[in-house]
Amino acid sequence: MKLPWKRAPLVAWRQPSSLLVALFAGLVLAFVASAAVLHVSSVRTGAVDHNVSRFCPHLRGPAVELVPARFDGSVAAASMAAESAAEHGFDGVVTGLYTGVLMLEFGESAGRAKLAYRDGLTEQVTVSRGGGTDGLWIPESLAELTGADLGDRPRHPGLGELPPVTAVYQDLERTGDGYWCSEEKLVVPGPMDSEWQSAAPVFVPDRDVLASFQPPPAVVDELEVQWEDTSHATFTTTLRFPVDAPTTPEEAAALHDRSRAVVDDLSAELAPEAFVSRGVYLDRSLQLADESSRTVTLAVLPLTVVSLLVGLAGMAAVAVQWLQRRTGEARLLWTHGVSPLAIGTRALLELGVPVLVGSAAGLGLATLARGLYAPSLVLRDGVLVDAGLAVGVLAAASLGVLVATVAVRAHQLFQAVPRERSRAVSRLRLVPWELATGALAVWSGLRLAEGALTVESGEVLPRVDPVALAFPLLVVVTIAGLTARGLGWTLVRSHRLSSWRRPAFQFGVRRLAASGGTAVGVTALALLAVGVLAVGGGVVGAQRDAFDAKSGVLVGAESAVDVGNTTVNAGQAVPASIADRSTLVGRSTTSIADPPREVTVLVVEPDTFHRGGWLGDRRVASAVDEAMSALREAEAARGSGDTAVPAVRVSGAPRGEQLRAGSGLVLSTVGEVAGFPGVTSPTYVVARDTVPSGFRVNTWTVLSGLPAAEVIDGIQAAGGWTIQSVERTTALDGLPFLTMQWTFGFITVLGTVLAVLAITSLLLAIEVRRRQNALSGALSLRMGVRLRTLVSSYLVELGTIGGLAALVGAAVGWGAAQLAASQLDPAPRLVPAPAAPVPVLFLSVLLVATLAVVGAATWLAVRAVRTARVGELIRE
Amino acid sequence: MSEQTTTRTPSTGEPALLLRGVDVSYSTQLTRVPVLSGVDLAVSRGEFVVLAGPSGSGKSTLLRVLALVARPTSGSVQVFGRDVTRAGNPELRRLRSRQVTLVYQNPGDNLFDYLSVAENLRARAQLAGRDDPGPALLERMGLGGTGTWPTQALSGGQQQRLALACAVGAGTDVVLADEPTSQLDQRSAELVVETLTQLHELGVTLVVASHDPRLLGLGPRVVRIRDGRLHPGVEKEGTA
Ligand SMILES: Nc1ncnc2c1ncn2[C@@H]1O[C@H](COP(=O)(O)OP(=O)(O)OP(=O)(O)O)[C@@H](O)[C@H]1O
Ligand SMILES: [Mg+2]
Repeated sequence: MKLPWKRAPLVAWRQPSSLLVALFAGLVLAFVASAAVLHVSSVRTGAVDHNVSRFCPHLRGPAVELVPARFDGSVAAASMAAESAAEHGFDGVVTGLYTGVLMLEFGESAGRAKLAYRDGLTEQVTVSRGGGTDGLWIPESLAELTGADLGDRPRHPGLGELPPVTAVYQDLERTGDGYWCSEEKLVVPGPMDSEWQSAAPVFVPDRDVLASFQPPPAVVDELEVQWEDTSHATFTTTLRFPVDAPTTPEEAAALHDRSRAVVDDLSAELAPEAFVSRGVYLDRSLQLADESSRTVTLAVLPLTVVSLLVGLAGMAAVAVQWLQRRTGEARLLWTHGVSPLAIGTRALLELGVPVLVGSAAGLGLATLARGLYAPSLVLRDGVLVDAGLAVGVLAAASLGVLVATVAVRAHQLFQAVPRERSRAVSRLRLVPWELATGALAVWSGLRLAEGALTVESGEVLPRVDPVALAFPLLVVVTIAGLTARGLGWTLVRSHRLSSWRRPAFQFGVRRLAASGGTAVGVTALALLAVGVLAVGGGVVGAQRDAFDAKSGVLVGAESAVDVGNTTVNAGQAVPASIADRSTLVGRSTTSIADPPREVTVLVVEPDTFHRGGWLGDRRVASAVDEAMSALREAEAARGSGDTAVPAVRVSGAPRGEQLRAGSGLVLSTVGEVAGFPGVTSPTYVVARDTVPSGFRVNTWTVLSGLPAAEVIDGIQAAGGWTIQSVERTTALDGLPFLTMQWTFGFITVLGTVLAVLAITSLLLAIEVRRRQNALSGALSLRMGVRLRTLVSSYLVELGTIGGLAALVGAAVGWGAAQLAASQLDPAPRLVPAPAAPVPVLFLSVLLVATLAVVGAATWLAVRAVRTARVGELIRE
Repeated sequence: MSEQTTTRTPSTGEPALLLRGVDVSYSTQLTRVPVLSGVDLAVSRGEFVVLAGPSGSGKSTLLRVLALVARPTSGSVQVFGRDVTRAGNPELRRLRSRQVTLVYQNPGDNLFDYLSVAENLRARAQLAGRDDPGPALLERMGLGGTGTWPTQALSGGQQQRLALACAVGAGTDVVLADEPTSQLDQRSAELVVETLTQLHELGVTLVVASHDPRLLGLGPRVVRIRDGRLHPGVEKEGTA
């Protein structure tokens, strides 16, 4: 290798700032590329995580329920399942056996129960008395109802005398988690279940004892006889395969395949009519994970590609800067017959290593920092290889761009006919590029207005229109372009600003005008950064809030516990222990005659509703206020003879003076709100005191700000019944919201990168102008300008850049996010629509950051002035 | 003298450099500024030409055209009888690396400042596809013992000397120097004049833009240029 090339890597160290710039450019490019790969890949992981966490631990593997004709069949199925489980790598099988509802007689009294067995059940119930495993374990509810106690032997018409009661256990509740989660439908009676559909189980801890109840085959053959008499003859059998939650999509897919194999084995060996259901829940999870990942990829990919292209343009700028700094050497080489391409390779040898080091650092940084942006920390197998490949391709492209740019520029500089180009360039500068992005913004805005998300019924994830998603970013880009053009135009004419007499302003503005392109470029970049961050943050915040608000509206409170179905006047009340954070609502479905419509009547207590009802969203809270005051006013104005019940209509319920609903209820609408906690269908909200006392409420629900468990404890401690509970945090599937958050979360990553770039280029621009600034500053000081004036002039100059970028960027970004947010509604059937929250935190951080950067840049500039030695500066 | 430096382009009687009707103009945004107009110039092999003229008269521009570093707007350029007016960039590059060397006015512009004195010599020879001329050449050019020095340790005159030595090491037939003494003090300028004499004696064709009386004292052919035109009338004065 010839000497100038051989020495190039060492020569590079003579200008560390060039090295740093190249390293930084490589880092940023590699970071964006690998962050995109890691982000998109972990979307699948995040989605699988999210889904798996939503179903019962025992339903992660195969889920099989069957009703074999005879008990032997259940036992046979269980051993078959155990065999198959072992073959496909499951630890084992947990078998549950449940009869239909039977009437058990305890002497004089009788109660309904199922006979049930489940592997390991004795560890999983709370025994309140007794505990022997050779008899029956009855629930407290049955013991209370029948007065049965330890040692009593129940009778059943078909089974005769049963073994004695050896334990009383606490009734099971729906907790949505743990050992009983997958069996809840079978062991916890549902509120709407008919009496023969469900009953708390009487456990038989010894499976062989249960086998002994099996009636002779003759009884089975006469199934027609009477349902309740033969329902003991068949056993609903659940086969569960406990397994750890998969952490990656690959693990999930493997688990899914093993589970399928087990299901297929069982399907092949058992009579098809025996199955109630068989399948693999992961099926759907994986499908959803794929959809979620596809959505995010679809939105993120074009953006990443654009960013990377811009990044490569940045790399070209690094090359141009190198040629500017090394023009002397390039000219010497060229004079001695070196080709522009060879000059390009000379640049490559200087800058290549830092670019490669930067790329590796970018990959490392993206991997380490993934906790800050990626939906999941878990690295899929081979994802680092993918990211490495992306970075490698990009690094190669960067090096190619370096060589090509230097070669082309050297060619233009030294050997091209000079005049053709400059005109072409000056024409290019005149083309209003913002108009193009503006037109794109309008186009995507129109698509957005038509609906960016289409929610098909039955689908969990909405279909996404990536063009519409780009709208807020296109707006920001357009405004950044317009601002840059406007600023450039103003600066060119700034000498006319004669009204600004203050020297600090004059200096500052003159310096801005003199630096022209740099100031405009940095402002546009910073504005873009702030705008993109505001968009990302705005949409992410809107989705998060919308998920909270919608699940709040869906459940009606932090937790909702159904407590019974009595008439309005039956004295249903919230126990005192939880009363200060709870309220009672009653719900009835009824129909109105004209127009004929199914509607819900929601009975509320206007005075206590705010204690428990969900008011976490501003719009919902004001709707509640409005509804409550309308009800109170109407109640006050009501004459004693009025039969019509004042009602506030919600969610599109018909309007009317005298709406005749079922059970003799007459409603008169006195108000109307868009949404109300706990209301998801056309509903009339009425006050409890105004409803005729015989009106039957289908379900009474305690709405509470407390966790469901506390509410249930409170109710039970007061001697009340609880039927089922829902909690706000798990009621609504968050995946569609998460998918949107993941999409715009990545935009926030890009915004952060832009912000880092903007800050760096501002500081770099000052550093590059250091000598010039130092000289003019030092001369001004000598000519009697005070230091304070000089400092203020820098504050004016840099403050203009920072202030413009921060103000316009934040306003435009937030506005665009606001426009987009309401259209990006993954659950349009639930109010309220997403709205970008006022970004208080973002604005404060932005303010502090802007001040800090302007301050630091000013300090940097003024320091150069104060330490300058004028004599040296002039001589150089 | 080593084998290498003596292998020069065979003499065929044609001039080393020949310009016919050369115009050069720069276009600014508003107008075209003519810098050279209708320049005819022939420089024979081994000839020593001094180009004299007031500042802004076009000396540097003319040297750049002769050095194949700039192309004329119109007119033709011949090097050793070969018309290179329409030659491609690769051919011009080959000529610049092996046959024609331009020495810039500012000494620093002619050297790789990150290479030592000896390395500069080697680098230039490598660019011409030749072997390292080695310390012997340095010795001969009066730079003996400076081989390991960084170029910044040399005086301006020594730097220009090294630049000229590089041209010799690269075996170029034609050396064009743009005011090589103008930025130097008395002593340094003398070193350069001495070296140019040496080059002339080696048979190198020399075109030097200069007002330096010491150079004129060597008795070169003087070509005067004013406002971009050569003045044939006054050309003879110098040779007298
Ligand atoms: N790149 C350029 N663009 C426009 N005009 C140029 C350019 N280079 C040189 N000129 C003009 O061409 C004219 C001749 O310049 P040139 O450098 O050849 O003169 P010179 O005789 O070498 O002067 P000096 O003695 O000052 O070096 C000058 O008027 C100069 O301004
Ligand atoms: Mg000149």
